[in-house]
Amino acid sequence: MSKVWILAKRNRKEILRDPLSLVFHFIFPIFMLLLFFCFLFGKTEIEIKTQVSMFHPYKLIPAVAIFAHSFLSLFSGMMIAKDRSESFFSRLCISPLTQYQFFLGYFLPLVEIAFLQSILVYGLGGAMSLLTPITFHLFSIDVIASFIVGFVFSSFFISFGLCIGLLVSDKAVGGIASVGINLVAIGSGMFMPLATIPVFKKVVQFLPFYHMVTVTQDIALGFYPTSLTSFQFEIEYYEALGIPVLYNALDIWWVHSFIAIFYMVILFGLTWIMFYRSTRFHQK
Amino acid sequence: MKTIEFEEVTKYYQKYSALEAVSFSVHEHELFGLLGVNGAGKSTLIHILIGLIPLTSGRICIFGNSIAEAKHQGIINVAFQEQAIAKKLTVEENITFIAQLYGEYACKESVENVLEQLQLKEVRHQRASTLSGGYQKRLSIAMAIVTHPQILILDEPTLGLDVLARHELWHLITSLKGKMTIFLTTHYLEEIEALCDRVAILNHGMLKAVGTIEEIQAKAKAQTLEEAFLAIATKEE
Repeated sequence: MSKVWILAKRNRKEILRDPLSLVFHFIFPIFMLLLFFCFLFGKTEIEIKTQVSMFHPYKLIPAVAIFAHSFLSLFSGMMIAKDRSESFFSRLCISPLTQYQFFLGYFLPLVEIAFLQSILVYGLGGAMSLLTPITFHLFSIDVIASFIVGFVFSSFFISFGLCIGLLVSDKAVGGIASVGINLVAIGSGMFMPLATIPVFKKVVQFLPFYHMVTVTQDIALGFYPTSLTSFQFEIEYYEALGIPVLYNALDIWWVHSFIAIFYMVILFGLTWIMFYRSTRFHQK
Repeated sequence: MKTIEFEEVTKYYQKYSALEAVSFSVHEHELFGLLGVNGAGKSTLIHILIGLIPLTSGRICIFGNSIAEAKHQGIINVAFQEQAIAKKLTVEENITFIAQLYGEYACKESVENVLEQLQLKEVRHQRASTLSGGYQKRLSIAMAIVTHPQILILDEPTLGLDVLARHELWHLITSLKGKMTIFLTTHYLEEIEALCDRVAILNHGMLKAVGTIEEIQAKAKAQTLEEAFLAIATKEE
């Protein structure tokens, strides 16, 4: 059996045997879906698109999947920080594991959990959408592409968790990861239209969460804004209501993609470097 | 035959000296004790020995080889001060995990032997988090010896245990004596007296004495190890 698989198996058990981890990774996203779908039940397609467009199934489901992934940072961070504080990490450092085996042994079980989360959120969301006038077509190319992109973005949250777990104590991980989770919830635009809060949007659009959520939503919708004219309808709608609104160059689809991928790659690289430094053997 | 040789091992954390030119050797199949108060440098020496932290200067040889070669050959293993066990895994899963990681050829047989040897069979299906402190220490030792190391390092093995659990663990350590070289760190004098063939005393990162208990007592002109230790430890202050 490969050493990566042996370590991954241990880490998978460590996560899946923690009831709190199961609740936050799997139960909580289901609860979120149920909660937000309540806004859609009993409404016509036009009402959904005009009154509660935030919770349009093609926007809601990819956003909840990203939100679910954000909990990976909390539990991956706590796992590795606990392993460090209880010297389990040191025990592994003196074992015959190579640095890349070490890294993959921690990373892969979290990827598996991210995949299960995506399946759960997209599958359940698709099923729930059957109760609304807008069906979320699970096997359409756009939805499958959105699923894959959202799943790939989960590596950002895994890297973030492992990174802070290697840096701080298990108690501090909880606090730091919670900030990340809250930034996803508030700053990603999944629960509120950020364009209508210009000052807030100016800040959060420099973080990856808003872009990750928007990219997966846009892919699911098949909507790829290339210029500000793409938002003409929204801009006119909010102006008619007297609400100030902000759309700028950062709302172009490839800019969203670039920022999201940039953060993901940087954090992945940083995590690898930190693993490399934390697990190197000193006496040659 | 010399198993471990420390030659002028020095460790500085910026300007603070944690170890100052420490030299001594450990012989094959002996139970060697490293004695010192908290902060004496015992854990630093252990962490250098297993390659977790770099030394500033000096050299450590294991069977004449570098530490990296010893690690590669799986010669050395450690039962850490903190138990270093996977809390959500059962006792058997913990031991099997380490055995598999070290590529134990007859993994199942080795695990069974270790469960038997450390009297862990009755709790084999119990999660590590639900074990008492004594059993957790035993599990930690089991995880270290399942890989059949030639050198076993026990870093403060009885720290935080009650008297009964401590004596049970001493009994287990004694049963391992002669099968491998055991390098034990502690700050309990009675542990040294009950278990060790030879002992080294560290104080403020400096080696103060090495030898059998009798030799150390004679050197310090003391009747007991405690008197000898106090005489040696307070000498520089």
